[in-house]
Amino acid sequence: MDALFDRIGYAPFSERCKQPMPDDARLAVCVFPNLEHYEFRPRRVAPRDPWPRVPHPDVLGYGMRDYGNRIGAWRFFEVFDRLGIRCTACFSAAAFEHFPILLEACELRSWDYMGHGIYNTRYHWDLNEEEERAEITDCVETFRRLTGRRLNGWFSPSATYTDSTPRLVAEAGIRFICDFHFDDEPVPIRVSADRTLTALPYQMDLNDSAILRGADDGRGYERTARDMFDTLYAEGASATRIMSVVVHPFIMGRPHRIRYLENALRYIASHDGVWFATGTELTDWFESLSIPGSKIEASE
Amino acid sequence: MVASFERRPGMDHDIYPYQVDTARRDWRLPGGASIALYVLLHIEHWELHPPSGSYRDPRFTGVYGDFAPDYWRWSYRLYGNRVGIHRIMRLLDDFAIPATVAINSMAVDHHPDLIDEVARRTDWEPVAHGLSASRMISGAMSEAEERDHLAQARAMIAEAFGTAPRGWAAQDYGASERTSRLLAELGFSYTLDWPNDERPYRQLSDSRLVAVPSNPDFDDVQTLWLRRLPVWDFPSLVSEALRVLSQSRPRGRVFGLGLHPWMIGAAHRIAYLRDILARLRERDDLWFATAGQIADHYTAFFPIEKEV
Repeated sequence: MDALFDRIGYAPFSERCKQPMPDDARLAVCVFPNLEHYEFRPRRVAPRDPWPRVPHPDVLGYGMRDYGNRIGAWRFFEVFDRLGIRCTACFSAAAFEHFPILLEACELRSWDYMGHGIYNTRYHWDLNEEEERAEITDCVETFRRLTGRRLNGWFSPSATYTDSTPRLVAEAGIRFICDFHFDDEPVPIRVSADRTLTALPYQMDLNDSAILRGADDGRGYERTARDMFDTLYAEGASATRIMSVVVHPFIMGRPHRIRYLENALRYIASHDGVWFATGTELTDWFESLSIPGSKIEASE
Repeated sequence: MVASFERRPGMDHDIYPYQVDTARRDWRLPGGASIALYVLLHIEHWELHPPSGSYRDPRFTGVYGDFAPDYWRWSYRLYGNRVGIHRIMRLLDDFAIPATVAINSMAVDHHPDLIDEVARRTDWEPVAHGLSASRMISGAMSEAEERDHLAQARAMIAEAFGTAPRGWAAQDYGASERTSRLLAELGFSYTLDWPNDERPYRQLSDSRLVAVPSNPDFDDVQTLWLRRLPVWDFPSLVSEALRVLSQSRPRGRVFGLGLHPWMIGAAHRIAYLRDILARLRERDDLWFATAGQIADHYTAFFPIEKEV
């Protein structure tokens, strides 16, 4: 069996129960805007070239993404302010160093955070344990230096990982991880004999980067979001359900897409019993539950 | 050794002969139905670290390439077996539609609760479905390797359900020119690997193996994931296909609907499966059967000497 398979919590579907949420919410919804930065001249091009189109720099690839920090992010803040939604920013550490005003804007709104590597062009695929630990620690320390607080969440940069990722993330003091898409409720991952990490549900199909890969445009994003919400909200009456909405300012922050994001969020917010939660709030809630959800087999 | 086939009338292999659809006789289905419909539900195991040398369908390469570990692809598939499949099973129960269930042998180890769910639905039929979603059969295998793969998959399903599976559905349609013969030698009576007909037909010179038509155009992964058809367009395509099949002559067609828990079982796709199943139940010309029932009916209706 895969070693990791045996270390993730599980409960057969028939044995699961509805875990009470604050204010008897039916469904928790977590919104993850990505505040990333991509290197103009990437330090490494192996094992994957971030800009394979042309000898670097790639002004098209870079510029399309840089747009997010100049324009799209500010459009996002307007939408989230109008709707009163506190988000969980998925940030490249360097983005907050290059553009401190982005962090200020998040801080002003009391957003939550999830570390997402240093640059989104620094992939973790082939890092050894020491190198990956250094990247994760750098994010944690940078966040502490900039805010004075502990970093609670993690999503590996550009969805690149190693077999050690969950353990290294937990050892860095991080409490939740969004690298896994295997459930609609939080799932504990055992990373060592005495330590677990909480995997929060994270929807790759409601990650707007699918648009870059040929999925439908903004209209399709809204329809997918509504369809996903309808199912999870209905199930949430008797089951624990968390929905995530993942957006990039350089994708959904474009003028022809922003209304579809706002439409989707307004539709969700128009229902009773929706808890717009942050990653840390969900982790606090999950860790406080007296009724355990998924269990890890006590085989070790 | 690969036999050489000249440019002459007939197939360029010796697995089955060519048949002309319009020259065949009507196949009269139970209850006067015009279409035999089976649902093929897949229970698969996607390995985080497939063994070196195994062959995986390259169309499932990750967004940025083939790197390991790829938690994205691995956990996305696992969602199907933890959550998505329960949505599908509930809908099939609600609409009283039996499933033919293609099960990877490694899924038996990893998901004993799903095996129980299949076993207690006595009108469902398990079929062998290879070892894992990351190990395809291919023409590069030796005969011994391929036989071992087929035998292992068969033995695991036999052990899990107490009876040997009669049907075979390869992972990702992986096959060699030997597969049909090896399947017959191992005791399988039908295969779901061949998407080249709309009714069953016999394979091999001694007709020991029945090919029940598979239907990649109506397999959710082929259509929604690989071809990126928007899921909201899927139900109307099913309706259109059934409309034409019901009018096609000679009478008696097969329609297979392929479902993967990680695909149609997702929260944002499941409503469209409900739509499809509701459309199926509105019709009065469908025979809801398992693939094995379809193979049996065909061979009983057309004994070897009366085929075609």
